[in-house]
Amino acid sequence: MPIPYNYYFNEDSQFFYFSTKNVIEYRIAFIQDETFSAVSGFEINNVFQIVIEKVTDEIERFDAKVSSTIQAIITAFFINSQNAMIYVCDDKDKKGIKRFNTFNRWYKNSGLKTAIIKKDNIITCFSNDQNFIIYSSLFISS
Amino acid sequence: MKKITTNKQTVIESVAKMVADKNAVRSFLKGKASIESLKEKGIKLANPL
Repeated sequence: MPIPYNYYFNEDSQFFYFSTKNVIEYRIAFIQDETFSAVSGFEINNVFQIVIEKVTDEIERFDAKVSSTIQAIITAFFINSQNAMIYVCDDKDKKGIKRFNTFNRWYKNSGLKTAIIKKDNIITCFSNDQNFIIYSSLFISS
Repeated sequence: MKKITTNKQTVIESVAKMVADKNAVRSFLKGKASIESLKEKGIKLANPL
């Protein structure tokens, strides 16, 4: 695995960030997720949704250090084995399955499969005469 | 074992909020929304590392 880029935490704005050799900036945020608490009626802590965003508009050529940096952040996240992580892709632009498969591919190749379990859930919602698909994955320590 | 009964509408609303929160945070990370706007939506960012 390539050596990750150095990443930093912005205390004021509460997100992680790093820049690549091509001066492309990525930002990663964790949202305290209360979905399980809302659905179950029980208080379930330590569940976070991860949001990964390339904030520089320029198209970047493949850079393996990007995924290794994100992997380093996720590995650090799971040092606390009580933490659970959710990753969601919506399908409004019909590219949800593509992003979902990309994240799946990253997980399979990450070497984290023995330490972190992934449970996928593809949810079809019908609401207000509309249906939409949400691709979701829950990650927990094994 | 306790049986958990969940209203379908609650599930849909919760899942829809999860996606809406993500979109709001993406806008924030891109500099298109303020952290105050996230707080107004009840979105809490954290450093769980």
